[in-house]
Amino acid sequence: MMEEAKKMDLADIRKLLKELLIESLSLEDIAPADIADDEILFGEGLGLDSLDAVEIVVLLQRNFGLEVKDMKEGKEIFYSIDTLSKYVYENTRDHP
Amino acid sequence: MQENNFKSDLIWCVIPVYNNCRTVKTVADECSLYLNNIIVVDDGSTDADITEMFSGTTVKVIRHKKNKGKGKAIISAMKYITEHGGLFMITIDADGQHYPEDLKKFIPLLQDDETSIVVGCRNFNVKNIPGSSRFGRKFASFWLRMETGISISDCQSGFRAYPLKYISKIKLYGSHYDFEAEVLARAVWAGLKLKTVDIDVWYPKPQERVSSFKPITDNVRISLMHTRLIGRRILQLIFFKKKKAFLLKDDKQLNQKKNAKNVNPVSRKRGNRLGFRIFEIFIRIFGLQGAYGLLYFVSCYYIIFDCEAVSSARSYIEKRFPESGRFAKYFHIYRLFISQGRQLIDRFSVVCSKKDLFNVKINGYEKLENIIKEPDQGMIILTSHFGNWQIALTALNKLGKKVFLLMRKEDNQAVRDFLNVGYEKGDINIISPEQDFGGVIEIMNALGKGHVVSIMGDRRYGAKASKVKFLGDYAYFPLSAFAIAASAKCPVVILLAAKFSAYEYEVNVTNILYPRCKGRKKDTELVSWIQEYANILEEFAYMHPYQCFLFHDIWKDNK
Repeated sequence: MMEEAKKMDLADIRKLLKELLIESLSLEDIAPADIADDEILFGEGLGLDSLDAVEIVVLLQRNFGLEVKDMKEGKEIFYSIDTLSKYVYENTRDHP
Repeated sequence: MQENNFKSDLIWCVIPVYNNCRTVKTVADECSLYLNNIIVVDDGSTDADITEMFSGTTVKVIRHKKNKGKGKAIISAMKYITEHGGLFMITIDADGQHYPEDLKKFIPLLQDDETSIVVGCRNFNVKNIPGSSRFGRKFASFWLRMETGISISDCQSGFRAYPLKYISKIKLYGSHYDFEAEVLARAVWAGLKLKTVDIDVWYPKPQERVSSFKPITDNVRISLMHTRLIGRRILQLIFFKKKKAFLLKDDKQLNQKKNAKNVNPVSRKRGNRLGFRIFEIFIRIFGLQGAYGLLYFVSCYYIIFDCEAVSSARSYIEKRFPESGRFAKYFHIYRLFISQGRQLIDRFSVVCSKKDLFNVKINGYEKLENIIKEPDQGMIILTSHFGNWQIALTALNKLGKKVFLLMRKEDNQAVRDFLNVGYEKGDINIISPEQDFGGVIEIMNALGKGHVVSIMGDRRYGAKASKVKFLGDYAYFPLSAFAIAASAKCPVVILLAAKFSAYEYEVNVTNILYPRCKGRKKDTELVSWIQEYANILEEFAYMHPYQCFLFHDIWKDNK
């Protein structure tokens, strides 16, 4: 997965993340297309809670080998699908 | 009416009256020049029909059939005003000693400030002040300073403004003149500020004076109240019982204000240090057993005076000893307090002496060693308010792992002071659950790096919980520790430490759970592991009934 992610563009990563979120959070009755790119994940919007944040941390680690440094960073990254996919996109590129 | 229209309808003027019919009418009439809402609380007057006196006016009269005391009168008014949407209450004496005109000085101070009590300090450089009042005033200021560390020049004045939002949440016991001393001390403990304004005062010649203050009875009442407040204060210092600055905590906006100004961290620290010193000296002179001896008295004090402490212990005692009668329950609670006191003393004596004073035996250490052989294997240590978890954690320092404690900020310092004795500097880290995502990102990182994360497993603080059977009834245990373990695929080690004798503790780490779950219905998926945890606690409660310090009703679903 990590190698594949390197080749993906932003739109693909968005789609993949939506699928992964639905799978790992068992969001029944929600299709990837139902989640808007700018939908707020925590609080209002999708209404995820801190235990779901655990799953997202695990998901980023397992699928992309990424580790969120701290809460401050997490708050920015976990804001919406957009912020999340940008983070994944930027951090999976090979840095010259 | 009043010139400055700021919230004038939210400020109510309260005049408690008991047999002061000659002056109350004038006072009320003059007050109504400055405020729209006036309440006269007739505290069982027998000299005139106060209700009749004010009929046909806008003044509201609340009547107590019997004389209940000034404190109760003020509380009755407070209830009425809160129900009618008022935010502030200014009390003024009915005997005419205060000048209603001074209300003007209070009103601007209430603007945008719901966190202060404003006390009108009397100018005593006028004629006819009774000597006893002068003395009483100095004496009262001294007590307030002892109780709260705060000094104001006239804390007996009955001319005051109270912010009702917070004052109405404080439990007050004084029903007579002792109320006025009590409310200031408890308000300061709760995190409120005291402001003062200078007011004038008029005292008639002694033969004309009508005061319902009974010199002997009321002075005894006030002295008892101060004894009680001082006792409470000393215990706070000794036992590090946090000043309950609870009132402002709920309110985010005020919280920020509080961080900036209201709470004085210096004094709190000093309190802690003073507590340490007292204990250090006491233990040095009388030994651990001597300090334990103190507890019989201290616990008595709690049983008699601290209704809050007693009622917080009750839910556990009722579940553990369902067959006990009323008095037996008090006795169980008394024993529980003594036992908790002992463990607190143990903890502090470790901090004071900076040594391992206790013989700590660990059961199941080999099992733990097997887990931590892998350097990358993180684990969650699940602690409980059962036995002495701090002592247990120090015993685990030989694991040689970095430990992260998930702990609310308010509990940090004392615990850190304690744990630093056993651990190398930097081995203990605190993660606060009071941040976004409840600290889970930090927890996951720590576990991922093979560290130990310690989480309190029996108090949910409003978090998601599972309902499991515990001591004969359904109780709510937080599921976060189990959910995190399931996601991070790490074990949950249940850590319990029971005190066996004065210098002996036995730590038990034989219970290791591996919770797993998929999907979002974590409360039902994880229930079997949480039930197992509850069973382990239940067994502990049966073996060591007085070492379960569950001062919280976990059987109630308080989200």
